[in-house]
Amino acid sequence: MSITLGIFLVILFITLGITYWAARRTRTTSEFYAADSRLTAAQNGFALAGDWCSAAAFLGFSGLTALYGMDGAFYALGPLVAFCTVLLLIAEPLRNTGKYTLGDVIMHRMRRPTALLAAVSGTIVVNFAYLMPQMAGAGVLVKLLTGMPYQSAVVLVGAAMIIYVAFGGMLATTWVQIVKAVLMLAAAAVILMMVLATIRFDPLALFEQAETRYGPQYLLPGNYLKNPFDQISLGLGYVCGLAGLPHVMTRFYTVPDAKTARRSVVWVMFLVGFFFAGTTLFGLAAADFVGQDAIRAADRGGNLTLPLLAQYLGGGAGTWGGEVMLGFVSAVAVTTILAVVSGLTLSTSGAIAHDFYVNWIKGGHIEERQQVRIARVSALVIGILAVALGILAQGVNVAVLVILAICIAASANFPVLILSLFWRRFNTAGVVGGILVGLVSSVILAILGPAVRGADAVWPLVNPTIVSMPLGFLGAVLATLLAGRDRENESRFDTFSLRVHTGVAAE
Amino acid sequence: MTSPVANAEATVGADLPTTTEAPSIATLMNAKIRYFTPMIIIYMVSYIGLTALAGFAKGFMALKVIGALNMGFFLIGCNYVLSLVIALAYVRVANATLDPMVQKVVSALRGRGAPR
Repeated sequence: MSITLGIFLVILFITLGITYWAARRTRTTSEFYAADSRLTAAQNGFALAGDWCSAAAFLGFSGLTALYGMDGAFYALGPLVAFCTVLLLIAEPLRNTGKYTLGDVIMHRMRRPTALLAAVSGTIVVNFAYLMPQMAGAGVLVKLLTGMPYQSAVVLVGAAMIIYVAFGGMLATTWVQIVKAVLMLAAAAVILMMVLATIRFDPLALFEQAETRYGPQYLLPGNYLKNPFDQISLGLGYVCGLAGLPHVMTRFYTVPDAKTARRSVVWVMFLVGFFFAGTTLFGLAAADFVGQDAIRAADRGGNLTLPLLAQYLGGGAGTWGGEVMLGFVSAVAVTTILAVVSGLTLSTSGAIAHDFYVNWIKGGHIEERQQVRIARVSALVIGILAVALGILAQGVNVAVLVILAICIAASANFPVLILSLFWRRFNTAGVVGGILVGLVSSVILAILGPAVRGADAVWPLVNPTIVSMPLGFLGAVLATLLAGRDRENESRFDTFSLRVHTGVAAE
Repeated sequence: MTSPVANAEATVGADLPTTTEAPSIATLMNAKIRYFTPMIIIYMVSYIGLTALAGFAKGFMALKVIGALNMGFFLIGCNYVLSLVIALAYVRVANATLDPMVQKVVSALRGRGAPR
């Protein structure tokens, strides 16, 4: 276990060094929130991979596949398909219309403080719903992997995250994500080669062994997601929710133009595509080589599947190779969380400091240097809040919050963003209606469902997206129509479209 | 509103009646709709359809394709490939067809004295 801690400390040391370098290049708001929009497509592609692959992806997908077969493979496929939506519908428009946040885009379209406030609420709720389980996950994971107490682990992760974001802004956050993505992909590539070598480069052998050992039922869908509508909800949540996650949107402001935004999505799709497909093979390999009983014995949810597989491939428990592999994969898993929480903190700081304080309360009339100071302080406050929430969440099942975050992103943020970009008549009432209905219906249905109430559930689905997303769209459209026409807003739509599609007048 | 953005918009906005004609933004948007609607339908239907099959057609998903590899895993593999193909197709269309149109729209605007 000390190997894990050692490797992790080395990674921590490197990323803090990067932060020191980045802090000296972070003086303006544009540098703080968007790395001055000067990243290359490859840099942003790697950073997107780092942002999007949480510990749930790195550890969870292979664990689900190992224990439940095909449902785990569905969990891994969705996040890749989701990037098609990002690429075809939002990446370039976001780059062309936004500055630092979702609020910028909405404000640019509507010019109404109320619309801005609605966008801020959507961002903050989604980000905290995502941040809290990540912090709790960090505590559990670090404790499991290094033996450090839960609370110290949460504080350590929180402190590192605050330092990255408050001092190094987007530049440091980006490089932490790039370092994490490179390590994660390297670990995956090594494990993949070792798995393939073990089965003599015949992936079909993985399926055959699994079927012989666990029966044909193991390779069928429905072992984890019992309700068929939950399968569809999961799919919808991914394919629309990713495009509604504010911390993912933020990444498109860090590149200079639409073409670079486009190329960075292709980078991330190839990077995570191979990675996610890999997690399915890792899950099957772990079920074959390590065995489900050993995986469950280490962690009931299967979260240690990948470290255990790495240990097996390195030579097994107690051997030098096995311990080094285990330590490396575990350290990468912790780094994975660090990169994700940093991106979330920065994006939340954008919503609170830039959208809410500077643009809503002060109407944009604040001196540049003051704005950067406020941004740094807000990152500190958000970080402390995240640590407190993480400590409070100890022992609570927070998995429902991850589902909820994606569900709200798909049901509130996504409809409002899409309609703002592409519908002439869409107005401020529609923004408020969409965010409100999407948010409230997601939360209520999640609370009534089996994720919170267990066997007493009033509502049958764990993931309510299949209902809440249409409701979010409906709320946005109905509120728009009920509020009557806003001619001035509609007449601006041509200018706005011009900017959405060409970037003219974009900074 | 005294930011450069607002100024630029005011200038472009004054031009509005003409910006919707000429080698215009409307042509560009129509081209986008023509090219990308089929792509969006293809990946949405194939992916959401696959999750629906997983929920409602377990027998079909259990059909063996090669050895122990069943239809479900086979289609999941196909969906990975399809997503990457859609992405590459999008980039190809965007680079070859849409970027030149964007260029035309922008230079037409500049020709009328719009900024930059």
